[in-house]
Amino acid sequence: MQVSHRRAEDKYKNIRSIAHEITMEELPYQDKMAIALTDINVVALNAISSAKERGVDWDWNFGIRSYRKRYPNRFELAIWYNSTVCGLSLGRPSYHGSRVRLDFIERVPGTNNPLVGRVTPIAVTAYEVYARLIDAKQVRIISPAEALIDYYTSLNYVFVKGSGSQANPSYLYKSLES
Amino acid sequence: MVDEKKLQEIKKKIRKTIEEQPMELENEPDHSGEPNNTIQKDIEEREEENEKPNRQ
Repeated sequence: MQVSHRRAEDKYKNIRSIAHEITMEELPYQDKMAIALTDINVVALNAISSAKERGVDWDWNFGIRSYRKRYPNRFELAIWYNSTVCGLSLGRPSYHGSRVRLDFIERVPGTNNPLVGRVTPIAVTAYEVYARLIDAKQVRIISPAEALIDYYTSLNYVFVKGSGSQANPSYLYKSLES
Repeated sequence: MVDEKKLQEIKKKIRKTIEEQPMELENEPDHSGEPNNTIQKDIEEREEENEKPNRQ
């Protein structure tokens, strides 16, 4: 790893950590002391890949390796309830850093997940904190699940319909006021 | 390091945002997004280039 990449890694790791801390601190839930946000680690990767009845077969091991190699300024998020991983998300700023995009998010399936219904709101909040920390002006949610579009628009995100091709996906955006 | 004033401002804004938005979802789907899609990067780069002030 080049020195410049290592420095960028260290810098953004610190900023992600601050984003996780601020989000945890500001969550409005009565049981928020049980909720922890971290970077994605091996325990989280194993938990998601061994979960039964997943809705998708995303390879998080590959995804995280790829993002770590290419994007030192990525945003990674593991959402925990006590020691149970409840959801993962991965995204990154745009090339010039004016936007932060949430590329994908997966909740650990099953009704035993103690954060069912809260994984998406927590993740979106964390992305907005990270975007503000790096002075991005907008958060984008790429290829949103159909069932979440109404929710995202209720958070003041604007839906932009894509053509359906991979080159032109649908997304939502929210401009962050200064 | 991020300066303390900026951190406090961010906390204030996020607190306000959280107060105004639903923080719990009924029927939350178990995933959202498309991890294979990296083409959007090119679109965003073009947009950012267009947003730059004309230096001529």
